[in-house]
Amino acid sequence: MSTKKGRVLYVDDEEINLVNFRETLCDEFEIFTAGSGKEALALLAREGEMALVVSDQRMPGMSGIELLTEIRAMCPDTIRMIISAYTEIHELIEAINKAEVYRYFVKPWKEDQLRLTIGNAVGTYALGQEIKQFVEQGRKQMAERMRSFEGEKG
Amino acid sequence: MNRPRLLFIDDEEINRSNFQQTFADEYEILLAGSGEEALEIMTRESNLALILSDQRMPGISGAEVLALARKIAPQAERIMITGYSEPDDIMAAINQGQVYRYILKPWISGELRIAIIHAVERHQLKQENHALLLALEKKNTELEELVRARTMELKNLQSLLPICSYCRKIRDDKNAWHGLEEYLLRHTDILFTHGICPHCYEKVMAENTP
Repeated sequence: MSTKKGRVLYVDDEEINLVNFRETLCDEFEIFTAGSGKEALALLAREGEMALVVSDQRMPGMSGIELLTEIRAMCPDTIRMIISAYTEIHELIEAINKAEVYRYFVKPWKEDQLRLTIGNAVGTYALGQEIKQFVEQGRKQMAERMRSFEGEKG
Repeated sequence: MNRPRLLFIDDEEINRSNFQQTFADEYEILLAGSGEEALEIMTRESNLALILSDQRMPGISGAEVLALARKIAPQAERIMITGYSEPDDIMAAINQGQVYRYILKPWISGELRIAIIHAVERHQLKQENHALLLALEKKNTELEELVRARTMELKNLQSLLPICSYCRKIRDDKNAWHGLEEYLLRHTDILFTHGICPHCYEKVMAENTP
C-alpha cells in the first residue's frame, strides 16, 4: 500500500503541464498523467478507479468536460475538477450541469491553492469510501450475528 | 409523505410568484426576497431539500448565499438561476457554492422542473443513506446485546456438568464421557501446566522404590 494520500489522474495535451503537475504534487499524492481524453479512459480501464481526475478543458479530440462527463457515468464516486486557462461562460455552465465538477481552477495555478484543493478533494473521496465500507461491514456483521443467533437458538 | 421543501430566493416579486405558481403543486415552497431573508429562513427551517437562488440581488449575492447555505443547511442541494452571467460569478457558484445546477433565465419550466426533480432525488438519497447508517448502527448494537445475553445463558447451562463420582470423567451433551483435562481443554480457555501433588508424589515414589 502506498503511504501517499490518494490516486490522482491529471489530463492535459501539453506535456510541460503534465511534468509540472507531477513534479509539484508527487510528494503527497500518487500521480497518473494522460495526454488526451482517450488516453485517460484507457488508463482508467487499466489502473482502476481514481480518487480524483483533474482535466484541462480545451484539448484536441475530447474536451475536459466531455471526458469528466463520461467518467462521472463510469465511476460516480471519483471527484472531478477542471483546470483551464479560459473562463468562457458556456464552458463554465457545462462544467456544472454536465460534468458536475467539484472545482473549476484557472491556469496558471497557484501551487499552495492547488495542493490544498486536491487534498480536500481526495479527502472527500476517502470519506465517501469509508462510509460505504462502514455500511457494507455493518451489513455483514449484522448478517453474521443474525446467523449465529439463529444457530444457537436451533 | 410530506412534500419536499424548496427555498426560492429572488429580489423580483414577479419571479417569486411565477416560481410559486409553477411548482406549488409538487413542492412546499418558501420564498425570500433577499439573501439576508434567505439566511434567516435557512437558520429557522431545518428540513430544506433544495435552495434555488438568483445571482444578482442588492445586498448578499446569490453565490454568497449558496456558499453560506453549505454551512447552515448542508443537507440541502443548491441551484443557481440567473439572467446575467459573469465568469467570476459562475466560478464562485462552483468553487464556493458547490451548486448542483446552473440555470439561465428566462427559465423554461421543463428544464427547471427536471433539474429540481434530480436535485430533490439526490437530497433524498443522501438523507436515506444517512438514516440507513444510523439504523444499521442501532440494529447492530441491539443484536450485539442479544448475542451477549444468549451466550451468557448458554454458559450458565454448560456450567452444570455431570461428573462421574468414581473416575471423575465428565459427560458432554452428546452422552460421551471425557477426561477432565481433555474436557476443559476443549471447552474453556484454560491452559495447563503439569506437576505432581505431594500425596501422589509419595504414592508414586512408594510404588517405584524396590
